[in-house]
Amino acid sequence: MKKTIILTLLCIVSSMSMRAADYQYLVFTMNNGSTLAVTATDLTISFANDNLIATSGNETLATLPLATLASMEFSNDNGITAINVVSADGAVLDVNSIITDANTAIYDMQGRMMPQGSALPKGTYIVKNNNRTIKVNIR
Amino acid sequence: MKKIFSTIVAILTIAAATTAQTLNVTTSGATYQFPATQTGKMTFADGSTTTIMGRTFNVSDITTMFIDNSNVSDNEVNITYNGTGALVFVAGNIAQYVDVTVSGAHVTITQSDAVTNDLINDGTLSEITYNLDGASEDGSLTLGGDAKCTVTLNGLTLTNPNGAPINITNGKRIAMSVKKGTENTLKDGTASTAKACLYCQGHLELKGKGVLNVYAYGSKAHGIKSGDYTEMKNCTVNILSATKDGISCNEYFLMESGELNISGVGDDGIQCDIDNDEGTPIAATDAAEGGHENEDTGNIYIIGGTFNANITAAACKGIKSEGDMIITDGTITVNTSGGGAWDADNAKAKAASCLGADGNTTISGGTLNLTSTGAGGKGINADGALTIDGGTTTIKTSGNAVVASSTGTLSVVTSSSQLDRYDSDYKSSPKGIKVDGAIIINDGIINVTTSGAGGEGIESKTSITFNGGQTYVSSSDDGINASYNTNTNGTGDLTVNGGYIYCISSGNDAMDSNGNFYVKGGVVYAVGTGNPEKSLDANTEQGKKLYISGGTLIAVGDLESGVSISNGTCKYTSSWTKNSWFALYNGGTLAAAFKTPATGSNTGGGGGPWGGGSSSLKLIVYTSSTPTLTSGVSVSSGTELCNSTLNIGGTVSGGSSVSLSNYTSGGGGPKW
Repeated sequence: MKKTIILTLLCIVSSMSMRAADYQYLVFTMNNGSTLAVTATDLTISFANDNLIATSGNETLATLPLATLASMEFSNDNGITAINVVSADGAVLDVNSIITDANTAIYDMQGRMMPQGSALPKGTYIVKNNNRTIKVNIR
Repeated sequence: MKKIFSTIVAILTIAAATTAQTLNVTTSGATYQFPATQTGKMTFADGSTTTIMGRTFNVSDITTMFIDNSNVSDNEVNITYNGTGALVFVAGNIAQYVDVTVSGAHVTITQSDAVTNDLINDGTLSEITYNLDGASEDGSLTLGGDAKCTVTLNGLTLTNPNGAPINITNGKRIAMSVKKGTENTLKDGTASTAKACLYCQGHLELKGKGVLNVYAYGSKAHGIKSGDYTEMKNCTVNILSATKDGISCNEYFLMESGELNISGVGDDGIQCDIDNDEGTPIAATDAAEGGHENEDTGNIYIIGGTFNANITAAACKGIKSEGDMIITDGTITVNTSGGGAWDADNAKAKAASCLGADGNTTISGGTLNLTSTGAGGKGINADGALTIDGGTTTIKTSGNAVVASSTGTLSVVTSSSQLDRYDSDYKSSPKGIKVDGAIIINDGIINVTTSGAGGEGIESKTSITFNGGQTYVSSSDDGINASYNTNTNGTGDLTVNGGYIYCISSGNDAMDSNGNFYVKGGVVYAVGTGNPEKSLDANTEQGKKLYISGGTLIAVGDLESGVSISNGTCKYTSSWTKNSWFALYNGGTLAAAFKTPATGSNTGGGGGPWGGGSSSLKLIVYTSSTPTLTSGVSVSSGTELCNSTLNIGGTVSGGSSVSLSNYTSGGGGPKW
């Protein structure tokens, strides 16, 4: 009896462990091959004015022109080595230019604003530039 | 320990079921749920569409997309009615095959033709399951498609005032599972012109262990209607109201188990028709193995379960098959109380019956209680043959005969003698069993009681043969009558090869053959009305004859004149007492003990034991050797048969010897 119980529990736990853990990101790939990862947790996507708008709670994570989107995919790898952001008019903006833009504010995940012009260590950041807010991963 | 174990398992199971990351895509009709583990690459095109797991959405149709931890079961669609609306969730793996529109609580689902039975059968695709629950007073499900699927009722209360609450236009096999522990109710409204409250264009298989209640108020509504066969097992189905049949189907109906209760219907309880235009029965391709593949016979099979029907409509049937009716097990209780009706199309008077078959009827098991109280009502009415191989069949009819004028005006007659004035198409008599084909009784217990005018017990228009079983008949007209007509071209012969038969008539012959009458075996105990009716009657007027050549015979009332007696001896007494046990010996061996009728020969006045009378009806006995009789015996042990009118193998004590005279044809008693 005891053996049966243990075996059953092992089977259940085993089956649980076989379940894939939640993906951390939903990664968008643009037509030009660039990618953008947003957190998958509590993610909501809506469509307005030919844009895909990704939000989490009250926070807008990305606003992406539909015409520039090629695909999206769940992933645990943010896959971002260089970040490009596509503007509303379809122009691809270099992330470095955004980060160095005087109008850009960068926050870490604890909500602390990062010093302007400083080198960003590895991690996830919220980048606010004009009316645009994106989540970026630096690694 | 066991409790702890169960708790741990429950907790772990819940935990396992709530950790699925799911991308939900909500449209105006439904939410499509894509497990994150299955989605792979989701593409965008032209800035206007996105394709996820093979389903392409116009982004303009998407209300929102969100990620949560919903648990998604592959191949399932969940529909929850909530008053004025309905929520529909479609599993991502079948999203590309399921289109949904919702208007209020009216849900229309189209299952893509890309889903086929072939692809399901070869494992390429899986059968889709549609789970229904919730409640709405103004809702429905219309389900289209071209492949087999399952619909589960999981606590659904659905009313559609203007149509069928469930309308399945998918013409393939629909498994409808009524989930264990749930009660489900479907209602339509009087404004509905739908064919049924629950309509299924294809094959309907009712299953599960829950309860389904059906109220069909629509002007043309059956309770349940399937365009093809209907099968039922395990579940409880209550048809509580229907303008037409309780269940109407084509091809065949099979009740395997469960409980089916039908009442408040305006037509038959169950009706099964042949589906093909020619009306030709097509047997199952795997009939030899007991299967029903590709069957279109109009047959009704009851092989288990409990069936109860109370039918009040005029001239309607509890169970009606255009083909055969085959009963092998189960408990069947049918009450009909409707009177007669005039069939203008066929210029014929019709009446109700508990079982009605256009084809043959076979009963080999089960318990049947069939009661018909309306005018002309019958227990079993079959156009084909009747074979009884087992089971216990109890039939009671109490209505009088119904007759029609030349213009079809119906009236009820209370005297059998009035019926002779009417052509057969213009009258319908209350008979326990009326069969156009041959009746063969091989085994089983049959109890038939009729009390109304024209109430024959068992009648065949071809022939009747007893090979075994126990048959009890108490009737107001002929008890057992074998006849023939120009349609059947039968012999009208009545043959007893075996079995136990008790037959008593209060108004005619006990056993009447319009052809030859053969008693070759078994035990026959026949009590006729008396002068001029017979206990055993053959059609001597047409040159036919009564032959007694075997078995054991006990007869109250004279035998047909000219009887041929061989292989034994026939004797009689004119002095016997009513309601008393007698022992009949065959050359010293107890053949049977029997109880005389409650009304005896020397009482009353008029026409014999039933009319009360001064007649001295003979008690006639025949055995293969020399019969002797002992009256007033006590009987113990043994087996009582035929409603305790016969005892076989019992122990007899006491009594006194009865003086018997030789019975000879024409000489043993008066011929009327």
